[in-house]
Amino acid sequence: MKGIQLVGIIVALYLLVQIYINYRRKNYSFRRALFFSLLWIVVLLLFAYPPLAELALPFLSTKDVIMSVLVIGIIILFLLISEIYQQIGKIEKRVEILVQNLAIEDYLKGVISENKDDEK
Amino acid sequence: MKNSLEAIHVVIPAYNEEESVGMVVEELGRLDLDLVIWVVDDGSRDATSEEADKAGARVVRHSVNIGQWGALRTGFMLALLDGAEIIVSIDADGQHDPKDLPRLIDAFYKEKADLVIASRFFYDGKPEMLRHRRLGIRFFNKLLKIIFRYELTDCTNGFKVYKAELIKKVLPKLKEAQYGALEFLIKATKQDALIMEIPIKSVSNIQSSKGRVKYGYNLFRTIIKSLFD
Repeated sequence: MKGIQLVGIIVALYLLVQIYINYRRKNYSFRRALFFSLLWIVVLLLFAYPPLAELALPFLSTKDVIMSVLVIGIIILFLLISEIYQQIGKIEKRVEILVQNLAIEDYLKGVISENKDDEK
Repeated sequence: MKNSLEAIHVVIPAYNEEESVGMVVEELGRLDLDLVIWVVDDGSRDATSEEADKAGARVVRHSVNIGQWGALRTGFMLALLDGAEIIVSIDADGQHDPKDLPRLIDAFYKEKADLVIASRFFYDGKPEMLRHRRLGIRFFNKLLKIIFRYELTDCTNGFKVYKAELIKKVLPKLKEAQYGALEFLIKATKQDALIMEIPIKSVSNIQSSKGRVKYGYNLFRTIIKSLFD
C-alpha cells in the first residue's frame, strides 16, 4: 500500500465518522447521511483497492484508469459544490428570517415603550 | 380621493438611500390619501433611517442587508399585523413619482384587481432607463409570456399596489430574498390573481443594481426554479 492510499483511507474514514456524528446530533437527515456515507465509502474503496476504478471504464468510455479516477473526482467535486450551494441558500434563508424577526420585534418594542411613556 | 375606511399601507425598502428616501416619504405624505408609510431600512450604512424618520415614516431597521425582497417582506408583515387591506410598494431611490399613486389606487378599486403594476413601458415613447436594462426587462416579459402565458410589459417594476389577501396567500410560498419580484408574480398568477398594469413615467436611476448582469442572472434563476415549485 502506497502512502497516498493510506492518507486517502484515513481522510475517508474521518469523513465517515463526521457524518455519523452529524447524524447522531440530528444535523443531517437520514437521506443526506446515507448519500454522503455511500460517497465516502466509494472513495475509501477506491483508495484501498485502486483497480476498482477499472469497473467504471466502460461507463465512462475511457481506457485509462487515471482518466476514470479524474472524471469521477470531478463529478464528486460538482456534487459537493452543489451541496455547498444548497446549504448556503438554506443558511441565507435562516439569516433572513432571523433579521426580519429581530427588526419586527425591535419595532414593536419601540411602539410598546412609546405607548407606556404616553400613558405616564 | 380619500379612502378613509381602509388605510393604505406603503412599504418602501431602502438601502443607502439617505438622499432620496425623505423626499419620497414627504411626497407620499402630501397626497390626498390616508397613508401609513413604512420604510424598511435594509442595513444601510448611511442616514437612511434618520431621513425617513424625519420625513414622518414608520421606520423599521434590519441589522444587516438581506436584500430588497427581504425588506419588502418585513414591511408587508408589519403592514398585515397592522390590519392593512391594501399595500403599496415603491422604490426609495425616487425613480417613481408618488403622484402616480392615486391613479394606481383608482384602477385597483375600479377593476377590483388583486395586483396593479405601474408600467414604464406603456407610456408614449421609450422609458427613461439604460438600454441594456430596457432590453433585460423586455426579455423577462417575453420569458414570462412563454413559460407562464402571462403577458406583462414591466414585470420587474417595484411600484405596485397589492391586495393584502394576495400577499397573505403568496408570502409564505416565496423562497427568494433578493429577487422575489418575479417569483411573487409567478406565484400570484398561480393563485389566479387579477393583475393589471397602469402606465407611469419613471426617472432613470443609473446607480441601481437592477441593470447588472448578476441581477439579470438571478431573475432568470428565479424563473427556472419557480418552474419546479
